[in-house]
Amino acid sequence: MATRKRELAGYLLRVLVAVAVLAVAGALPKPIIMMGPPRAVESVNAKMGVHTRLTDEVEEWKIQRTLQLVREMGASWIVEYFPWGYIEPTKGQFDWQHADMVVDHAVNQGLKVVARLDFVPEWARPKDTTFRYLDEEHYEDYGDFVHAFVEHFEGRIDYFIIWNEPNLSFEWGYRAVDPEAYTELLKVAYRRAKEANPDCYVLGGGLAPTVAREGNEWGLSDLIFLQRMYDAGAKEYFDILSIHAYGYVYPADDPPADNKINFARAQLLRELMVRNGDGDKRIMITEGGWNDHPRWTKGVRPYQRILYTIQAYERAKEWEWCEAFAVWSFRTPVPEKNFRDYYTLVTSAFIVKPIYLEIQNYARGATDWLVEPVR
Amino acid sequence: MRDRMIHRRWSLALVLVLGVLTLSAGLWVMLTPGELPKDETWERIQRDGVMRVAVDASYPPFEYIDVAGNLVGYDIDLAHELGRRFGVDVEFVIISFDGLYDALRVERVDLILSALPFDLRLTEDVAYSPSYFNAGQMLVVRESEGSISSAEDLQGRRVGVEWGSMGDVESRQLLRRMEFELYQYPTPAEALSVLAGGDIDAVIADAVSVHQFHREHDRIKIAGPPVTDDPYVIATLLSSSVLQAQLNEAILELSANGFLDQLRVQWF
Repeated sequence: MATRKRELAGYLLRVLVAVAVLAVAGALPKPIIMMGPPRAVESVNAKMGVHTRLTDEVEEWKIQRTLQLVREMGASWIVEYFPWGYIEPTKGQFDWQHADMVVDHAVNQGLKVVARLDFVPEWARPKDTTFRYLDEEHYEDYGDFVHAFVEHFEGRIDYFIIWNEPNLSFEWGYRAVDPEAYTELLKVAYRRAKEANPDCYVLGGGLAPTVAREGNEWGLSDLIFLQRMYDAGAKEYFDILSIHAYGYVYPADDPPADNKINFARAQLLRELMVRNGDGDKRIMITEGGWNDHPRWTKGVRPYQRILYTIQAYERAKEWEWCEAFAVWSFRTPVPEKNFRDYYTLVTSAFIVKPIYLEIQNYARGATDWLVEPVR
Repeated sequence: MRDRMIHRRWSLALVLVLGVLTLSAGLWVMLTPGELPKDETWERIQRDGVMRVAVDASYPPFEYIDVAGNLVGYDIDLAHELGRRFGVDVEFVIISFDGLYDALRVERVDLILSALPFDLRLTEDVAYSPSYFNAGQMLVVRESEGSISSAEDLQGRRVGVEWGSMGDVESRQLLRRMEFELYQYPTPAEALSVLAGGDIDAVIADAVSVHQFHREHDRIKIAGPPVTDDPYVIATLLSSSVLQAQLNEAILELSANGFLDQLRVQWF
């Protein structure tokens, strides 16, 4: 009898220990991310920006750390991608959690957010199409999303890019690019954005630099595409033109030419805007910069990348028609394991690259970046 | 007590039965007449006599277009050697780096051989061969140097890097736990020249730059293991099991018989 009692007591004790362990494990405090007091960017150049890649960054501390590093570098602007398909996976049902997290931390760091809006959800496109494919039947759906997004972020985001690189076939769902159709999409998005917040800025274009001529299967020159946008009546439907300005192997002060892709190609787009009576409007360079992969033929040496990038920030500062210049790209959540890793300023493991430190020095007023290293 | 004994006997019997069943299943599988796994890619390569290889021809010296307009490079020669071993011709499909994996997925090509770094995230989608080249950062010293055999020996030394390069990044990381003098140069070749001249003690630079410099200057040597690894591999579809096996065997053989070393000497 006594043995049975001891066995029963032992059994009960084990159950109690197990329950206690489970209770303690379940009650472990989750990591707390403190937002901290609002911060402000200090920089000699208020047009400095970067394109962050926080869309697929899951952990909040990494989002916060990324944005702290942006501020500490001296950049005031971030361009960030907010995929429609992530936020509205079902028509009319919105998940703002991740986007709120990114935007709140950015605002707290004193950064101005420029939101790029694209990525078509499955429900808004035919089967077997890519997430860049949007047909005219669903333009109003996109407009509804833009309205909801602008409304949700009123007071936190003022700048919205309508689509990305519509002058590339890949970004237009692997169809022939269509400036007139894009203009129709822009009109819908502009109307819906302004309905949500009349004071917001709608950025049209997001144009990729390319010299492809009419009929090219991969894309169309940004200059031709923009002219056809104007011809289709786009002028009244964007507040700022968004462009991408990559330097490839040329310095920031290399003169522009129709058949050449360099940083100063931005000036050609500006001239085209003026010719179309749109000279009062500004341009924002929402992607751009140089790559320093050691062997890619479109890359430069790392020291050249440093010099050209800072020179480009200086040029953006001098161009009164340029709102901001966002370098592609600040950091990616994981290494991409190819030449694209050589566009970043900070590694995925949060190791700041020398280019980050040199840009930071520039933003703090240093001038010795003007000199190339002694040979 | 008796109950326990019975319980133990039953448990033992159960274990024995399960063991016999497992053994039988294994023997069944082993003794069943073998069928080669089906690989439509390999069958098509053998049927058409052509192996389609994706390359982005903008990465000299691995693959690029020379002044005469020919597609040349280390990877191109390696692909031809693989084709020779498989008894087929090689057709190169030039695609920008961003589109390489898509081309493989839609079976526009049979494999990617294009200075392709190993990417752990993609191993659920593609199969990789053994590495045929490590493009990571190397520690380089003078030929006569005997006291530096790894990055751990750089304490108190003079170290050169290409300004802003990943070698520069690595050396700054090392500076967080040891002290040495860091000298930055515009290019790896300039850092290596200064090393050869004796004004610094070591250089951290990428493998290709080191091999290219070493080709014409024999006063330097690689010290110890790579500072970082960046293995280049060949990618195939997961379903291309026979092709994978053939590639794996070939790469291991080409490494063992010195062919890969010959390619390096030829191209770097």
